[in-house]
Amino acid sequence: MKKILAMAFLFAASALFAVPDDSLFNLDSEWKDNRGNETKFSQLDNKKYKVLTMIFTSCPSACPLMVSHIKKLDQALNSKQKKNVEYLLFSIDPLDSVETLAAFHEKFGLDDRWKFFKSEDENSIQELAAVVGFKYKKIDTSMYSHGTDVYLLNPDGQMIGKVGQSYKSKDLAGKIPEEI
Amino acid sequence: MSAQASMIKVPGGSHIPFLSDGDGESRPVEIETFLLDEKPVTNLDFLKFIEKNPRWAKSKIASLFSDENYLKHWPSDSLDKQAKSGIGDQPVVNVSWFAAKAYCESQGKRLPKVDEWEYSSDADNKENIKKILKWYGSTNNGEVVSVDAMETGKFGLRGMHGHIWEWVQDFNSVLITQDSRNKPSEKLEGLFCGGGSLKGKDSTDYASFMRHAFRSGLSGQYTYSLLGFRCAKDLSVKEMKEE
Repeated sequence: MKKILAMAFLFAASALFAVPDDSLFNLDSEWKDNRGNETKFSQLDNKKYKVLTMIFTSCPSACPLMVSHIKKLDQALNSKQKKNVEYLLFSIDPLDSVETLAAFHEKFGLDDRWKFFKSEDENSIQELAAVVGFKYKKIDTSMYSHGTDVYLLNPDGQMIGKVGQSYKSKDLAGKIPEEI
Repeated sequence: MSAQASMIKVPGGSHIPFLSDGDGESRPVEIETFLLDEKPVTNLDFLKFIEKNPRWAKSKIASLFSDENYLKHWPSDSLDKQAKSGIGDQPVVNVSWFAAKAYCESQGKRLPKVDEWEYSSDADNKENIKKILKWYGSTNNGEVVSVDAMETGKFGLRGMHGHIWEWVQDFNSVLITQDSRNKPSEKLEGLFCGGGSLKGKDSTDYASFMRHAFRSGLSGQYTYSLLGFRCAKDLSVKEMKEE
């Protein structure tokens, strides 16, 4: 009987934590954030919508523009919506460090809902880019040509669209609920 | 068939990429000597991989890593005797980039980079261009031959042209369409750190243009009945010293 109960519990628990098979939480890659914490996709907050894109911190023009653009999208949210979203920016440059990410984070005056991630493993970076459909190309050491797409994920890590294509602030505001 | 597919050592050299990054001429890139599979990976090779790595089976693959047409030419997760003799030695197609990449990694290999593939394939050769254009224009849709029936080209590599398209590691590095599709353009200009639009080094080389355009339209989950792959490998430190 005990065994059956234990099995029933395990079954219920696994159903509860089951990751949809098109979720980014299925990625195994390991990342470090701008605070130096090691993390994986499966450890991301599954109660929050995620705005995700890829950048590199020594990027002279595009990435600062992308960040300020995403900030504008955030400013269009009301206070309830703001609590339900986080901003995840992944570096395409394996040479980015926790320090360069932290400096970038500070330079733009971003709050804790904004998280930057880096990996030394080019394979992990390439895999993430391929999963979301982000295009980039290394031109030189720490110099990349890249797209500017920004993706929206639901709390389960499933991609539900792109935001900011048309540079309209309602792009995001219309998609984040006040209650989750 | 040997357990490890035979690989060809492709001697390094200078390669001028077909597409430049905008301001003017394409800069030559140096290709290091590397190893490339002599032939594309076959259905039988891929079956062995799936038997050891069932998460890549047709019924099990996560939709994050493939579209719904993954291995659609296979009757099931496996190949019966009839299927084995029918398509076993043909190049595996209908595989996503993720599956191709996982296959190569399982062999201690990787996918070739676009520059490596283009360099190895002798794509600038006028005879090859003719052959490629003929293939593009042919109507034998979805027909593939056994890899052993593929002719040998430069470096001893077989079937680089005229049979299937092949995945490369950095398929998503081509930014042809992204900038040209977006409006309003003045706002988006300068958003690309590398600057301007891409240009082909030879605008008459329609064959190369098609190949790059095809790659730029791919996403990692995409599968297609004429899209397969072969694997590459860096030389070991010992082999490099011998170079």
